[in-house]
Amino acid sequence: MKSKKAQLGLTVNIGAIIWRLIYILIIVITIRVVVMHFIAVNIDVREAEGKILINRFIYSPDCISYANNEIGMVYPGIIDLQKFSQKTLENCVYYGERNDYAAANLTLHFLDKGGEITVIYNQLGYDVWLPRVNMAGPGGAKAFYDSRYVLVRDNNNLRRAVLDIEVITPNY
Amino acid sequence: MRLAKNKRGFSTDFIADFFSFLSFILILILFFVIFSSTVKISGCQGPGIRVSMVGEANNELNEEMMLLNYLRTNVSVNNEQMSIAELIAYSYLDNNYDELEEKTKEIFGQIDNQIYTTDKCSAVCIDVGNSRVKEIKTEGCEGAIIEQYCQEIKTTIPLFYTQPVKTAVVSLSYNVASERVIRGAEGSNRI
Repeated sequence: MKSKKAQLGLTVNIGAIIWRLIYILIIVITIRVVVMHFIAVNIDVREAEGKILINRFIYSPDCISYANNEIGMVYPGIIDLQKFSQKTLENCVYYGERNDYAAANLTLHFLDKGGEITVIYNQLGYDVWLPRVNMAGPGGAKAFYDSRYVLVRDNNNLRRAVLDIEVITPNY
Repeated sequence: MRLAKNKRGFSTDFIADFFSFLSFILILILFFVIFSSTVKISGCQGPGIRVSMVGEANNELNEEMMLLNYLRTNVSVNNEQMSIAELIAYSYLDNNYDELEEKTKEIFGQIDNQIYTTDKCSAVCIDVGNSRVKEIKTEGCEGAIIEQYCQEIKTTIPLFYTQPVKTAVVSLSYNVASERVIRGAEGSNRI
């Protein structure tokens, strides 16, 4: 049979242990929250990928830019009208037979005499993903837009134009 | 444990725990302050990290391309076709930049009307030696506040017909005074 003094000591001791357990719990939860805050599980790099795709279209010698084959020089910012076609785009950026990666719409708006020309990269993907733009989750898609002032080489004439580019990538 | 066996010990324990909890919170705050600034410096933003360095390099490429294409643009002056780079050289020789200013405003006006809904403020500066010989601001600059312009995107061109041949530094600041709002792409992702 314990004395009243001993019983009081035990009660006080349990109270302190409970308080410390709560304290440790708070620390554990806080550390977990902090770690989760700073560790990025998913990094969305589609915007960067879209920019890279656009730059490949514009800067690659095998794509739509005018290239002087005699001196092997590419003129980024000058579009060769003869190369501005779906076939050229499909050949210069190849993601396999079935492209699940990206689709794009390139439209040239001529500033001098008006008129426009549109070519689609990955027509099948573009038709499928376009209605799903801004839909969240798997099955949805995201679109990125860019516009650039370009010169178009048309039969040795340099015509002024704005190139509108829309890149669509599916959600994963 | 010995202290916990009486009320005085319990109060000492409580004070010790309280201060350790307080110091833990202070350490947490310090942790957030240090790591937040480190993450920003390394080019990332917040918990939904974005690859912002790619974007910055891309914008610079865009503006460099715009400057090059502006200088390559063919214009008709007195029924004669010449590039803007040549027109700059002529204007420097004649010390008359009226034609250059008119053509520049026309070119940027057409670009802005095609890309944006309204005229944007852009500035072209021409420096020869250490002196600025001409500043051209487009229609969209009227009433706009521009803090910095003609500082980053530059290229050097020869001034033909000068003896000995001088060079001019042409710099461009495109759309410097306002937020970019893209035509037909509201609520979408402008790269």
